[in-house]
Amino acid sequence: MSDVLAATPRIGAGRGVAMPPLGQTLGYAALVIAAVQALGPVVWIIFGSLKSKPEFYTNAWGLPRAWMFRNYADAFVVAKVGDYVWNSLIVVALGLLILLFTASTTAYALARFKFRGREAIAALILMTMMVPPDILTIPLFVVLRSLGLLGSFFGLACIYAVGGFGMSVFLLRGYFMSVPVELEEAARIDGAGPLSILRHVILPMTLPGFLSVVIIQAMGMWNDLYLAFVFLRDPASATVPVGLLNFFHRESIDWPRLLAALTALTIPVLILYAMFQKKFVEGFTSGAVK
Amino acid sequence: MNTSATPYALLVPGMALLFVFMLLPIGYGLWLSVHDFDGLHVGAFAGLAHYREVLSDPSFLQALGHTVIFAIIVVIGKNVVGLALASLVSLPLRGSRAVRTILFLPVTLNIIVIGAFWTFFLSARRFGGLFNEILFSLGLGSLEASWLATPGVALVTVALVEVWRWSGLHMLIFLAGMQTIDPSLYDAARLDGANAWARFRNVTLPQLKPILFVSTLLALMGAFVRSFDVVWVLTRAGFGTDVVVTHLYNEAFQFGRFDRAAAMGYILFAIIAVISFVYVAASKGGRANV
Repeated sequence: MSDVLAATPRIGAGRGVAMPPLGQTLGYAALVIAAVQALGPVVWIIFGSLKSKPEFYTNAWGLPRAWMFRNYADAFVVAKVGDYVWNSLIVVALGLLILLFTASTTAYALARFKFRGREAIAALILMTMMVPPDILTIPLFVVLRSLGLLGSFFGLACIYAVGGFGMSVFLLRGYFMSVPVELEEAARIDGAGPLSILRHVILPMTLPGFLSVVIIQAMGMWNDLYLAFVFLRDPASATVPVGLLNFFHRESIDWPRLLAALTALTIPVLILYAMFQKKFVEGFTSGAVK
Repeated sequence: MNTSATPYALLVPGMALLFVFMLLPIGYGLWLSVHDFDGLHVGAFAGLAHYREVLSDPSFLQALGHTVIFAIIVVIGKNVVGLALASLVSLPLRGSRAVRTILFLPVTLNIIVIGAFWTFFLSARRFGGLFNEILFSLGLGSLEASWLATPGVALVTVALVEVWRWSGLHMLIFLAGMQTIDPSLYDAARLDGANAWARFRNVTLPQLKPILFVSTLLALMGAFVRSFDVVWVLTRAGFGTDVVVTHLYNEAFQFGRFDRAAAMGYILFAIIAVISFVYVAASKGGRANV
């Protein structure tokens, strides 16, 4: 699974069979077009972020002539991008903490213990995966308000955690089951409780699995617009997508500064993606293919 | 140590999360939807009146129609483009691995980046819209349009942007599936003199049937439930692009009709449940016939 990016399925011209020259040329042309259309938006926001306002309107699609790095400083001051980033980081960190704690304890119980009701619990969790938080907008809104959590980072983090719960439980359960039981027994004889075994034996052994859960869920939370839009009503606590949506939906858009803000937010994700491509891919495809 | 209680203790955090932020809202929302509820005060019992109101409200039915059109384009588009891209990057061409990595990149982009790019790319020529400029310079000036501001056109445009955004993910899902196909099937087909298209039709497609099934379910779910952000960012649900989730949002947060909005959530859920059930049953039947 982890080699989806690297391994080539043998469906093309096949082993030792060369493609005809015309096919090759067309194939390379298609590859270039595919790469350009996928990269285009990112290149465009980077170029645009370095243009002055007048230049942007006369040269929207070319290379920047004068490199206006000041747009970035402006984006952080005028568009308050720094505040949004901070808000987003808090929500994502909280969401991941809640999700990893609840999903790993649940997955551990399902992976390692035989108990009455286990199948029912697994079925229940599977069913909750069919109910995305989006369709529960109204009741969630009311429940959050009754709990005094409406507009709080903690409340939103809990909803993110619930949204990723089922998928994370099943991924983690799979990873946990691959750990040899003998390792845990040694720890148990030493008097370690289940939480301590989970933390000190299972977690280190399944770190790659944890990492792919963390990456895919963190990206989903970081990029979420709808739930943050509905449940964090106060502009001061806006996350990145919500804050920039307000910037984008203005009567007259300040394009270079908007694009500077967008670039500043996209570059870290691109670096993470370049570093952990395999994890991104694993997290996204393992649920679908199994 | 009381081992028989351990699994239940481990389940407490996860079940508490699921109960408060999923099961309780599901039940509470149902209760709200059969009462009068303006968002603050729960009024008289209303039975199924709100469901009847919603289902006889032309603007809701219109949003439902938009959702169906959106879903048809998105499901077909994601599968066709995903399969085409997966086949392209499976050809024995240099650089195809790098292109795979690039093609997945849009999946990681923030919706505001996607919105900013496509809004500008598709804008009028006098604002610098490149797409209309290309049409014009190809002598197709008569096709110039406000792609995101023309009723009847905007919905299709938004759906195609959604296809663009996710096709890299579907490419990966198909690639993962292609890697499980036995290469000797292709060798056999080649010995029979099958050309590339025949091999795709007679080997790849039938072998990918289970993957196509997963990919379609994923796309269906996304199209019906998770379409708020792309629609809201690109058109704010205007110009004939109002879908059920944006309609639900406006019903509650613009017009304060929380009771009807709650009912819409369950109607949407019932619709996806029925579609998924029919689809699962139909594809099982299809498999039994093979």
